[in-house]
Amino acid sequence: MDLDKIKHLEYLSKLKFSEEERSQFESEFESILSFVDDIKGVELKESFEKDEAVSLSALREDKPSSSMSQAEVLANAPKQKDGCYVTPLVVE
Amino acid sequence: MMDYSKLSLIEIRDLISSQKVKSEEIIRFFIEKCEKKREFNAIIEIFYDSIEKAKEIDKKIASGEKVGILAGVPIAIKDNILYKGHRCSCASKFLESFVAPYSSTVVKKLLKEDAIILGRTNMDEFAMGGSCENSCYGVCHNAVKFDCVAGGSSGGSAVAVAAGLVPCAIGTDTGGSIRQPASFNGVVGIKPTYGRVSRFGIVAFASSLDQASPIAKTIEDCELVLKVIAGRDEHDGTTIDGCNEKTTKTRFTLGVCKQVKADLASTKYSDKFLQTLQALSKDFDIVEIDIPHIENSLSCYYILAPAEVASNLARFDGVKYTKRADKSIDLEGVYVQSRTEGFGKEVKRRIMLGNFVLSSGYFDAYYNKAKKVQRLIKQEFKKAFESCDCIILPTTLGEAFKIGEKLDDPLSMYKEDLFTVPANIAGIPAISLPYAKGEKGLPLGIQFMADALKEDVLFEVSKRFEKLHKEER
Repeated sequence: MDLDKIKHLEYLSKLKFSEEERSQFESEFESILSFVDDIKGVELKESFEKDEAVSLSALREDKPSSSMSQAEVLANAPKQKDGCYVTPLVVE
Repeated sequence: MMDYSKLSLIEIRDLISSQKVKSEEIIRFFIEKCEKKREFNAIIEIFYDSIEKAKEIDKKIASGEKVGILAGVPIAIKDNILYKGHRCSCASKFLESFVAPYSSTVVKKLLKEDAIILGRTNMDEFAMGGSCENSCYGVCHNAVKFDCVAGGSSGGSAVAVAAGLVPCAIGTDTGGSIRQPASFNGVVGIKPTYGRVSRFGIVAFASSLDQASPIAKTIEDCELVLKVIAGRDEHDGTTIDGCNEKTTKTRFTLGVCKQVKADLASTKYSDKFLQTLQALSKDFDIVEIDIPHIENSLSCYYILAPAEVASNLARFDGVKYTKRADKSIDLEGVYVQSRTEGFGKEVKRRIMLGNFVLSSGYFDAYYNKAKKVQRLIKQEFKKAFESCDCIILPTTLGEAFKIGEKLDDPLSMYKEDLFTVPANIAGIPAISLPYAKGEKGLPLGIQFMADALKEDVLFEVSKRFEKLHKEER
């Protein structure tokens, strides 16, 4: 783990850290990763090496039913207008 | 007025249904208790509409109308469980003003049986933590010793029950978050089989491991409330049928895991545990069992759970839910600033860890491998249950630790989950019962695990253990 990797993970995580937080993360990550690394040593039989078949969830019947109103869905949004979420401009 | 705080949920229920006491009196009693004992920081909001709801139940009972099996009884819910029209914040600044637009299946099922939701309980932010110190509302204190941690993440639920603020509280358990705080505060907490209780309307942490369930003073209370909230739900495709009827078995075999013995020997109270085990041999058959990879459970957990965290918490983007950083000028800035300001340290740590184990170049070595090791562990548990009914082990390494003691050492905090995590990784039910006292009178918990779907066996073994243990003392 190095600072470049931490910065890449920040980008993937949509988070931003100060230099101090980064170096703290770096050392914490080292110890956590060296702890979980024990699974690398677990030997698996061939049957486990194959990809797990996707286990299908039980689905409910595909019937339309009433849902929440637009107003209810938007009630917790920090900004809303005319039944839509408001964000900064993304297309000119 | 009588002190109802010593009574079990079933005793309170019976007082109300036999019209000896009104639900309104019970609710007012517990509200007063919560108001007086705010210093624990266990209940973060009292729902005062509970008084009106109690009056309605009293009317129903007085008029002879049929009522549910939890009629008029107060129950608190962890702050990650939605109750329509009430705030639900996951103890996070991000969701501080979030109001639930619908009720979770758990709450609906409790209300259907006429239970009364008294308030919401403190927790580690987004249920990540083992001490209830990572909360935007501040630390929750241990019910027995004030300068010690409540345990977590369902610390508020366990303390509320132990301190007599409510007879029962619902928590959630992803890696031990019900059993560990139950153990630290001397109450009973159960994690059911994965899928037994619907996750619909519970804010997701690690969806493949999360389960909601009760914390209460007695095994019977936990059994009753679990029965109410369990069952198949069309809104959660992973749910299974409700709990089995009582087991007809009369003699049970307890398994002691060979591989856990070394860890056990290093714990402070291994003598107490071994003495208890010795005493149990009168009523139970005790065998040694083999789960060769049980010790890899913790590593699996700290790979799989953060991976799911990174995905589940991606929805908190500053657009849909309550909090937005105001200064951002572009959309990317809204995402980054809102998340950076909204999430606490431990949540950020797990998001970063999750994105690491899922990232290109590391996915196979960590996430994929952990999924395979999880399957192996599941199979080993299955095999172990061919020779025993329940596995017995302590719930935690020791008693509740001091507030602040492990806050700067995430790895040592993670290791606290050593004995609880295997049940989540294997998807099996497990219960923590108070059984002894450690230093300074702090409670210690003992844990039983049963095969998937065998909550009936778990409850029966727990009741026998309790009976025998009381006689011993």
